[in-house]
Amino acid sequence: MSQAMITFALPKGRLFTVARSLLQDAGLMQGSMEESGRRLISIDEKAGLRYLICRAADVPTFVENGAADLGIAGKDVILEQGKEICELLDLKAGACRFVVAVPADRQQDFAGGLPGFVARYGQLRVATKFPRVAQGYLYSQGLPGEIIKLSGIVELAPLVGLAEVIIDLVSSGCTLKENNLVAVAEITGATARLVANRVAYRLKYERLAGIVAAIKQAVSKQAQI
Amino acid sequence: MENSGTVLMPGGVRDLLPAEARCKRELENRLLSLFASWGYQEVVTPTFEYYEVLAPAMEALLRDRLYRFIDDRGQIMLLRPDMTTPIARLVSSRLKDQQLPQRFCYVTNIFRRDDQAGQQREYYQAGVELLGAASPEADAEALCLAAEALRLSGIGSFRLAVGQVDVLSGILEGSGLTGSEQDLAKEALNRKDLVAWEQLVTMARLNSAGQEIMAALPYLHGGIEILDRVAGWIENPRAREGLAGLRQVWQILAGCGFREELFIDLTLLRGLGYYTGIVFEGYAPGVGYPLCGGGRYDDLLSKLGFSCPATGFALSIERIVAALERNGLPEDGVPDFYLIGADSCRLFKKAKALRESGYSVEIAVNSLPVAEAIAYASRKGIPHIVVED
Repeated sequence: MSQAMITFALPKGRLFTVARSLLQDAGLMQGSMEESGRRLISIDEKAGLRYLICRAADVPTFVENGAADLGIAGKDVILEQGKEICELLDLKAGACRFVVAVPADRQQDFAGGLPGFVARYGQLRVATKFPRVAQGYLYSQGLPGEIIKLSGIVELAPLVGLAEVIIDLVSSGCTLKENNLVAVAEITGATARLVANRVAYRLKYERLAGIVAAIKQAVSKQAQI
Repeated sequence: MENSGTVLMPGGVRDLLPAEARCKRELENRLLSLFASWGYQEVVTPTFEYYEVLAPAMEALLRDRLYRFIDDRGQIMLLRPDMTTPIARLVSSRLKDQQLPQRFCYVTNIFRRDDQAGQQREYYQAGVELLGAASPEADAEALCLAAEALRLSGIGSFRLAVGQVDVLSGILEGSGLTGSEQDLAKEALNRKDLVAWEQLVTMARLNSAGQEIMAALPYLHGGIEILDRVAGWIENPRAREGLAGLRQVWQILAGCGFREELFIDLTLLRGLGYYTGIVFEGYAPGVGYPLCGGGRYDDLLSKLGFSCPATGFALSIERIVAALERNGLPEDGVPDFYLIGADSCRLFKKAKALRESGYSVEIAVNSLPVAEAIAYASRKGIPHIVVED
């Protein structure tokens, strides 16, 4: 049986409930599982599934190394980390967006977009938790700029003159508003994704295909509600 | 560099201690004799070469991971990031007048820059290159040798995924995608991003047959029946030829007893624009990364000034060793004999005689009292301890 056991990495945090409800709807998870239990690994012998609960940002790492066969991760994390994993399904949940935001009182400086700002002020400093996404965006827009990597509370940076703009992930936009920031450009949307280890995807194909189909069905069922 | 008394090592490189080094060496020896039994001769090329000669021939992703340095004459050098390009350089510069095909093999370390601090930067590879043959038989030889190598490595069960880039192109073309959509589709498959793939299929203006093909393609996975299924989807002559070749390769491999190990996956790409025909990867259960990879690369040598078809593959030595180690490392090597005595001339002579009879022998060289020397040898587990008076 251990040969057929499939290991599934689930993210702590905002995507945990999304993941749990999809797995329950897909008939893969019987009963409930707590996010903050003491147990790091739980095994469902009957379904042949083993769950790891890890930090959301670590799901791609567990999956890339093959420590997990499948995982649920936000597209934001996938884009930022650029790991070699297979992206199998859009789970159409946990939606958020990468945006460029600036202080509301400096919004008029960005009337000509970022290129206009750069043409006038010569430099653009971007504070972000997502340097790869930010760098990729600046590059795609042909904009010069300096990326300032922060670990959190990025909203602070423009308020104290550390950066002119921020690139951050927003879901409702409340945090931006509270800090008097406005979005001036949207980079890309991001939803939760079902990901797979690239070897598991090709080696345990039959097992994974069944799981993927069940989750796909659960996604479309939830979309109808 | 020193830090609080500890000697530091750079990240991404490592030492191999005796047990692991032995495991690696035994694997390499087995592989080299396998390659030799198929007519492949070992070659050795320099660790560093001119950047401007080799880099233009490399795939972009590999080029991004090069270690470069400027030598004392101001020339830009690279540390080899693979062996395929140096062998292509060797053949196109020095061996192009030799008759074809030529068969070369290697076991070596290669160097690639890391994305993240601490990631592996020195790798060990064993592989073969078959140059000057464009036939399905040459593809079958590379694939069959890869399968034999994985079988011989002792990792237990393994599978080989086989794709064909012309067949994939032919299917995409036949589905009705525009040229730029075909490129996007390949990029999505190369990233293994099936979400982007599905979005592309939904957005593209395809008729129902085209829709059906595109929806099915990423999930085609299996034996020769896959080739029958896609045959009707392809019109492009190059793709049809590729399909016929793939069928022939399958039959040869099945005949060699690898029917169970082989499966067709037409979405396998291994990068864009480098491989020109069959591509393949080898996997083993419980190892998260491919153990080997290769395929046909007919355009590489012409970039080095000698147009010549070629195919080959590389095995990742450390991944295979890691897979073997899960079943336990071999015991540390222990010699058969331990010789103790005051007359060193006699000891060396005796040791020589024993070694010539095929035994491994250690001589007590640190002039310990006999009792301590015996204790050392028994702790080490040396079976025969000889004390010469």
